[in-house]
Amino acid sequence: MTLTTEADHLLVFRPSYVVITSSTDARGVILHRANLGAGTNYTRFDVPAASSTKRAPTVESIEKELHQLFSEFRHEVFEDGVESDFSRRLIRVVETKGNMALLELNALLRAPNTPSNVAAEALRWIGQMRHAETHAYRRWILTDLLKAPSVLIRDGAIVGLLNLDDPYIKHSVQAARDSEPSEQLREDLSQLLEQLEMPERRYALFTEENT
Amino acid sequence: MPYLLRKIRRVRWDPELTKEIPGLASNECPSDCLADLNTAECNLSVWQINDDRSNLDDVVVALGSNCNRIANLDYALIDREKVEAISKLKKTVGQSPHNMANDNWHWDLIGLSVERLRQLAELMYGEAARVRITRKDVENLVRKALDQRQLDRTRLKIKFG
Repeated sequence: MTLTTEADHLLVFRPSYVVITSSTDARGVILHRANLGAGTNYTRFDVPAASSTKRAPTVESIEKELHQLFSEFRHEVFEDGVESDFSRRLIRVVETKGNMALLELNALLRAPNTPSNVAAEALRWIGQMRHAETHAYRRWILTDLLKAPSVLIRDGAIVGLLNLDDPYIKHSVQAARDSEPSEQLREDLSQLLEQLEMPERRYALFTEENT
Repeated sequence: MPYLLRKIRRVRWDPELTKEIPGLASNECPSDCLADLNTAECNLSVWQINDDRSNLDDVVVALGSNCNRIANLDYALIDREKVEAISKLKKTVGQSPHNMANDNWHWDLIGLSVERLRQLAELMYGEAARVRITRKDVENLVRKALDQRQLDRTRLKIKFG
C-alpha cells in the first residue's frame, strides 16, 4: 500500500474509535459503542457491555477529573525529567480508565481554553508511559497534534513521539516537517525521523494490533 | 573560549512562540524564558563546557541523571566571555550524581539582580545555541556512565523506561 499524504496515512492507521472532534462527539461515540454490547470487534475498547456487572467510570466523571487536573496545574512550571503530581495523576487516569480517558483527554487537548503548557506536558507523558492497551490511541493523538496551532503543543507532541519511539508514524512526521513553520521544531522533527529509523523501544505494536 | 551550559525547555525560547502571544513584538524575549533561569539566593547554576566540548557528554550525564525519570535534555550553550560581562562567576560543587562533573565543571553566576537576569535572558535568546538531546541518547549516556561507575548511586533517584 502506498500512502501519498499525511491524511491518507492517518486515515489508514487511525484506530477505529478515535474519530472525535469535541467532547460532545466523544460522548456520542462512547454511548453508541456501549450500546452495541459484546460480541463485536469493539471488544478491545474498554467500555463494558450493557450486561456487565463491572462498574464503569462515567464519561462525565473522567471529563471532570481531567478538567480538574488541568485546571489545578495551569500555573505549574514543568521541567523535563521530573515527575510531578500532574504526571502521576494523568498516568493513573489513563492506566485505570484506558481509552475512555484518552477520548476525553483528546477533546480536552483541543479545547481552546485548555492551557497550552499543561497540554504539552500531558503529551510528553502519554508518550512516555508504557501501556499496550492504549498505545495505538496515544500514538494517534500525538501524531495528529503535530498539526496543532500552538508551538508549545506541537513541541509536546514531538517529545511525546520521541518517547514513544514507534516507527509507524514516519510518514506523518515527514509531512509535519514539510509544513512546520518553526525552524526549531523542523530540526526536532528531523531528529525524530532520524531516531525512528532505528527504534529501540520494545513497545511498538505487532502488525495485527496496528489495524 | 569555553562555554556555559544551562538546562532549559527549548520551546520556551522558540522565536516562533512570539507570534502566538498577543502584545509581544517579534524581537522580544518572552517572559516564560525566565522559568528556565530560576535563581536561588541570587545565584544561577551553570556548567562549564570546554572549547572542544570534550566534557559535554559528562555534563549531559550529570544533568540527565539528576532527575527522577530519564527524559530528553534541552540546553542552551553560551560563550563564557559574554556571560562574564553580565555577572560574576564562582566555582562551586554541583549536586548531581556525577562527582567528577560536580567537582570540575560546575559554576554559579552570583550576585544576580533582576536587571542582570534580564540581560542574561536576552543574551541567551539572541545568541545561545539551543540543543535537544533525545531521551534515548540521554539514556544511553547515563547507562554507559553507570557501567563505568562514574555515578554515585546513593544520589541516583532515576527510573528508566
